[in-house]
Amino acid sequence: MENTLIAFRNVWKTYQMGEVQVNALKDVTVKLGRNEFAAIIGPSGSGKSTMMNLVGCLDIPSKGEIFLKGRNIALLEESDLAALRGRTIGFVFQQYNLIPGMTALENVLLPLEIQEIDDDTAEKRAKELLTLVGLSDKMQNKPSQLSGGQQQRVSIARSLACDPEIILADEPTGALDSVTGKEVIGILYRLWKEKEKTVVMVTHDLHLAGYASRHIQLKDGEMVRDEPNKEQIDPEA
Amino acid sequence: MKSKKILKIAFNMVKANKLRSWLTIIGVIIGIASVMAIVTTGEYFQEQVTETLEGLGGDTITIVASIPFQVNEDGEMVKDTEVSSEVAAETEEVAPETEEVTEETEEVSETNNSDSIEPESVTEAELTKTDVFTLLSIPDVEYINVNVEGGAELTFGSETTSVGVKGVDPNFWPKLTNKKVEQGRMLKSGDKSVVIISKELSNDTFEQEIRLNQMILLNGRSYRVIGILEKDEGLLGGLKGLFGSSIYMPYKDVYSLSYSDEDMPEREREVYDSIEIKLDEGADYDAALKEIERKLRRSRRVTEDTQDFYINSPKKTIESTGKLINGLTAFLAFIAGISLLVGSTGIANTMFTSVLEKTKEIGIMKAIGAKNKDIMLIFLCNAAMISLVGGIIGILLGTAAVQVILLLISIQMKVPFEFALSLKGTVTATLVSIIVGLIAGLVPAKNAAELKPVDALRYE
Ligand SMILES: Nc1ncnc2c1ncn2[C@@H]1O[C@H](COP(=O)(O)OP(=O)(O)OP(=O)(O)O)[C@@H](O)[C@H]1O
Ligand SMILES: [Mg+2]
Repeated sequence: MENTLIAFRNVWKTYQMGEVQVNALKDVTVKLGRNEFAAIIGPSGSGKSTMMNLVGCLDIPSKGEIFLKGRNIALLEESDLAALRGRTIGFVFQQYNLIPGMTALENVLLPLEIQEIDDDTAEKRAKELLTLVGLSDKMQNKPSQLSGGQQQRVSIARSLACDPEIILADEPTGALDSVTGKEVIGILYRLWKEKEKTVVMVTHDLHLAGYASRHIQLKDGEMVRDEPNKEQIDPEA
Repeated sequence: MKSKKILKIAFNMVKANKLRSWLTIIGVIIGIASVMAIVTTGEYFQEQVTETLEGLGGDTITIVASIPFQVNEDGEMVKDTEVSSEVAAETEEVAPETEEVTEETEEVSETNNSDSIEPESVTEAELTKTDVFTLLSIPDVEYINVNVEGGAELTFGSETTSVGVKGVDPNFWPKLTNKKVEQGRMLKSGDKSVVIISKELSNDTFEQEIRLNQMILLNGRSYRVIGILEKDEGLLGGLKGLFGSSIYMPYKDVYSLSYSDEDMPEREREVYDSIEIKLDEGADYDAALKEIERKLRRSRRVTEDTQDFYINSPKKTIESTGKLINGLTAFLAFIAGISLLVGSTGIANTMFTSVLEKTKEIGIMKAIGAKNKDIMLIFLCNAAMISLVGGIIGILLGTAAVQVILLLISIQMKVPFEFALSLKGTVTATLVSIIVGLIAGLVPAKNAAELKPVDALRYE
């Protein structure tokens, strides 16, 4: 059990749409351990994003319990949960979600500033990460001065800032062309392979899901498949 | 999150929306500046008026004789003698030994009824030595000065003009007045045929300046100028000149000023136009006023309704004028406060817009670990910055505006310009600007902080 980072126990998520109730997630029980590369797959509206938001502790379940590193998130104070989330989880969004008023460097610095890391260490780390994703020459660019792929790389650098154990990526390649998309997947793959991070990625694209080591399939809010990917491919190959 | 970083983010937010921030700031500036200007100007006026009124009499109490007018049932104004005659009639029954006196009064009242317009037929209320003795018996009274007013033809060289003359008690007037001599000396006991004149009379009245120790002629009699008074200073100094006299002399001399008009009878001796009282330093002012009124009523045998004297206390006037100005200032400040309120609504409005605009960013920040408190502080600091900048500029502008107003007043009134800044106004404006900014920022900041990260992220 020590290996478990996130555990769902009979998790339901119900949205109230006026008179109708939408069960976005139905009775999902799942565990995510260290150094896993999971792909959540399923058709549109099957509850993938809903599940990611719960994994990332951005939302709370309607029913059931979620444990982050063994702690029931429903029982955590808002500020403790925020701190835990900030240190344990890094987010990569489909729409990059960089802060438009800040440069690439400032965007990567932000999580470090939130965690009150001292300025020198933070700056050193942010620059390292931007170099890692190949943007050492674009640090002072604002998001509007970067291409989509570059923005997504900044976003990956930002997700790594506090050296989290889990990287959550909701359709990280959704807004990118296939070549750039593959580059981004390559980075995530290396994070799993070399840095031993847990990577959870939502994707429509079954080909991209092929890079993951585990497949979790959703259908109408139900988890219909959860198995290791026996034909995992290496993007570098 | 460290406060340095929060401030940085908040400052960047202000900077990122320069136009909107400045428009909001302008609203605050106008509010603060007008509150400042009004409070300071109000305080300045209060000070000036108080100073002037104090100059007119300070804490001296003045008593003048007056027959009170009463409104009778028909709504006509009648002299009060009628009422006193009724009182007298009552007295007749109670005390028959005063019969003679009462009959006299009745006679008077009859003539009075037939022709009440003729002033000679009325027994005029007078202030006499008896009143002075009555007043001296009050322990709180320190000095008493008596005034006898008169008028005379003043001749100096070949020119002549008519002037008002004020007779004062040479022993006590110098102790009780706040007038000071610029040249020469004040009156003292035993002075006779000497005068003290005002600076204006000395300088401006005749072609030739009247100098110290020169002789002037009043109704043909000659008097020596032994003192020239200082000119009255201040905003309303000129006003004081209107009330002041230009010639002061021992009151006994006023009786003997023979009138050029031969028909006028000579003034009755030891009858005064007014009595001025200075109380002991530690005296209870209000209690003393009451005591004076009570004693005088008793010795003059009058009641509240028939009272034939009037007690004028500048302190009361100062108080009531002060209250009036205070009220007026408060009213104007209230109106200025409304513009401050509008300014703060502007802050709130800007903040709400910012929060809406930044919803997605709030979601992002929360996703990467920001606490509600951090978000709250960022928006509060944003509001505080706007109100602080508005406050500082508003205070500077308000101060400048006050100086311009005071300069215009000083030019208009021909008095020297004085820098004035109300501490109360400044502190109030600063506090209000901070409080207003915080309150206006609080609700939007709270809204921002309490956004659920999922909802905030979904916001487009
Ligand atoms: N905030 C919400 N309010 C109401 N219903 C919602 C909300 N979020 C999601 N849903 C509903 O929950 C269901 C699952 O949505 P979700 O976003 O998880 O799907 P998804 O698998 O991510 O789809 P996609 O691949 O299109 O992103 C959908 O039917 C959706 O309409
Ligand atoms: Mg989705």
